[in-house]
Amino acid sequence: MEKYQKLIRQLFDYYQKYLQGKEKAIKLTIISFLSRGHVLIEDNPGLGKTTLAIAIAKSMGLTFGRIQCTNDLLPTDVTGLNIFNKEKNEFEFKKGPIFNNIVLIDEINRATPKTQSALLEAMGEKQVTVEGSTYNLPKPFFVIATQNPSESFGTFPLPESQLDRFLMKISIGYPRREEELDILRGGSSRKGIYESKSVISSEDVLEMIQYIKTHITVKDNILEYIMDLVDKTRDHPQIAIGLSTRAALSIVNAARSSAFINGRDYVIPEDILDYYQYTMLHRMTFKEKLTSSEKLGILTSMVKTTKLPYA
Amino acid sequence: MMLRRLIDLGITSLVIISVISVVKYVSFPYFLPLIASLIFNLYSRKTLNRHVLTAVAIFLTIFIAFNTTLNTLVNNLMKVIIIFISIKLLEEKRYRDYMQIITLSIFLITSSALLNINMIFLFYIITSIFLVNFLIILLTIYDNLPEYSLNREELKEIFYKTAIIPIFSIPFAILLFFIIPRTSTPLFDFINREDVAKTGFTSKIGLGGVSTIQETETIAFRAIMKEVDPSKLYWRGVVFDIYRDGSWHSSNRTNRINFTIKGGESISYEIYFEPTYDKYLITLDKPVDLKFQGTLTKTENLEFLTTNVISKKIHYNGSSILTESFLDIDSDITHSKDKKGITDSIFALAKSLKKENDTETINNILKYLKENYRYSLTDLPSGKSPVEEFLFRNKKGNCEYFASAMALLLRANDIPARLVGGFLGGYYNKNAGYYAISNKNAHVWVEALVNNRWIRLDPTPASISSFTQRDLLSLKMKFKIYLDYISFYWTKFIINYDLQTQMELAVKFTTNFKTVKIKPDKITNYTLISIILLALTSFLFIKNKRNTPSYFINKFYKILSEKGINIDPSIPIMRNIDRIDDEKLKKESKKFAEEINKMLFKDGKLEKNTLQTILKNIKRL
Repeated sequence: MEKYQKLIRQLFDYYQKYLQGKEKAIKLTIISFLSRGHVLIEDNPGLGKTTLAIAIAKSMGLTFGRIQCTNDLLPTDVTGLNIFNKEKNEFEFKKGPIFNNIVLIDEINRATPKTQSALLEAMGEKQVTVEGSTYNLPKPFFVIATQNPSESFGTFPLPESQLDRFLMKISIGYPRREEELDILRGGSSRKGIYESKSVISSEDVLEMIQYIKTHITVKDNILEYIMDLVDKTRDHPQIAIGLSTRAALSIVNAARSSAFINGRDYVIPEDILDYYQYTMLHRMTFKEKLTSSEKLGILTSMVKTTKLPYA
Repeated sequence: MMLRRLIDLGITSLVIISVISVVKYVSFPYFLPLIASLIFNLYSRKTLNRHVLTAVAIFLTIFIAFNTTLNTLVNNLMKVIIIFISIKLLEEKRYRDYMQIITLSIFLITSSALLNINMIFLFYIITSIFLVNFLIILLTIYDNLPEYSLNREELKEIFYKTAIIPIFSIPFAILLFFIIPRTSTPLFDFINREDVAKTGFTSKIGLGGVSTIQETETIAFRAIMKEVDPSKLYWRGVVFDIYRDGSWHSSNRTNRINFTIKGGESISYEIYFEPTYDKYLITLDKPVDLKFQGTLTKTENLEFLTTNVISKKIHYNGSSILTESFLDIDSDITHSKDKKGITDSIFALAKSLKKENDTETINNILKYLKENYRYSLTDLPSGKSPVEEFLFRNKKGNCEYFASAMALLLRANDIPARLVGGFLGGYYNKNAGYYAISNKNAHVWVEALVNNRWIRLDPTPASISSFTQRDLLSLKMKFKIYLDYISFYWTKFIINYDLQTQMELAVKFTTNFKTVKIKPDKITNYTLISIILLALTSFLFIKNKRNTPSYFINKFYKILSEKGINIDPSIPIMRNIDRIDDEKLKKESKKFAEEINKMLFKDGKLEKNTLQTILKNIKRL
């Protein structure tokens, strides 16, 4: 535990240095990463999504790939394809940009459903299949997808079932004024990030993820509490589709990571409740058309009326 | 079946049961609107205006309140409840309103137990408990899903499960009764709470002292005995034979005891005595024998003293002969003949009242005092020589002044005399067969020695009825005497409690159960037992609650709230701690959160002491 705690501190020190004003987003992204999930960022362009993704990759010595989605993007553009090698006289698999540890998928809702499903399959299975051959994606594998919140023409919004594959849906938001001023003074920190050295190795990262999976205690009362929450979303009169089992599992995993980055080896209710709006809201389908703040209101009152496991 | 219909039917049955339980006590016209309301409720969807109904309810309640006396209190309470139920049935009904009707019905059934003690009550209460449970479940469903209709299976399940509660609770309650630990001090003494320190007579009393005793309206003691002529109820306590500087003392000598008491009705009694923090026991004048668990001292003045001060409730048996005088052939009259403290003017008055013989003189003094002086409880004579003040200037006073004046006038005429302090009268409770004697009944009278006989003389003109008639008491006192019944049984229960009687009671109970016949005064025992049971279970429940994490969390939140932190119990502990600005407080609070979280979500073991220490630290900040 001590060892990993030191690593995680180093990581956060690194982000502190290069990514001012994004503490919350970093925390959420790192939790998703450590929980072996993926993150969907719904935000306006130019708020530092790419910087965030690059910083995460760099800090851990991981490879980084980027896919800019357009409506003519083909599944093979993502996964890669077989190319005929004249010298060897055979087809050779040329890996696509998905074969990286950290993959930034920009504006995922611009891609056609066909491409989207190829992406999401890769995210879920952590492998891709091209012309009958299956290729494993590198470990760790983490997708940061972004989507534009303002409705625009020519987009294919992700269906709820696909949204379920993202552990969290977050937004970065504008930095605070002073932080933004700092950015203006210092210019983009992108260059500094590219030149920086990784603070932990990719082996460390894998070990850490394994440690969280196996060594963080989640007691039954916490699990019961999660089930109480999940059941409530399923029984709620305004909600058409409540949380799935996968959602519940994700919540548990996220809670584990949250406990870990907070220096605990056991999960407490805060580990669930600090993130419920990021882990739960995007997985629920409401009966009526509601604004996101209305949806959050319903969810919050649901959470607040669930008895905390302090008995 | 539709839920609403089911609830209405349940409510109707509950109301009918509760009304049947009181049908004997409330005059018929009161039931007519209720019956109408019930029918209206079952067959009409319409409701009446709430404001109008409330106005009617208030009007009727005031009307009934004006016609209420102590004797009709419970009956009128029932009437009011019945009116309330009728009105509630007519109103638009939501969850809250249904709950109100349920509560009122339970009140009605409970109030029937105040007037009638019959085994049928058990039936009413069990049935209503079942119905209430059933209704509450239905109401909860109705509150959440008004349109839901229950199918047969669901209905059956609810029915059986709610039936289990009353069925199992009864034998369980009986079982619990036998394992209650013995207690020697009252758990709750709600009747006498306000004046914990009891007052009473002591071996020395200044003039005006009795009136301070009379000021407290607490019960001094209770005596189980048959009802006797109230004018004979002189309760003897302390005998004062030394008069010094306006106050009376008791000599407490024990050398020569040679009494002969006979010629009167013989009475035996059992006294339950409240703590006085003195040694004198009260007896019925003239006591022949006293049985007490402990050493007793009998004095020359016919007093009984215990060795230790009476600091808890005690009980003893006595037998007395109701006579006005007793023979004392070997009396030491040095004190009672002592003329010290008698002023010249008293001597002069005594001389003017003297007749040929002692008996005549005594009668003349009695007559003189009763004719020329007024009984008063206020504006009492005081000063250096209160007796002189009373005799020649103020001319009004209470029993102490009359008795003191008489004793001094007798002594001035060479008749040995002394004061007896004790109580007069008492309030007889016919149901329980005992006298309740309050400190209000404190009294002083005179004993004079004529022909070797001590004769009781009471110069005080106050009529005996003021010491025996309830109607003359203050409302508070009336209420107290009314409730004293409970207090008395409680006292009796506490004093006499032992395992032996427990077992006997158990055997009795089982035999009684077969014949289904319980005597009224036994019922009081059972009522008491149930009260104790209730108190104990709630006590246990509270005790148990103290061991849960939520108890500590609530306590923690309470402390923080007291420190002005805005607490939201529906969010996790750490998020509440985030609201604290004070660094020190925050640090300590975090410590608490860490500990309790660890206990709850890691070890699963509650370290009460650790939590308590942290909480103490937080409180101190």
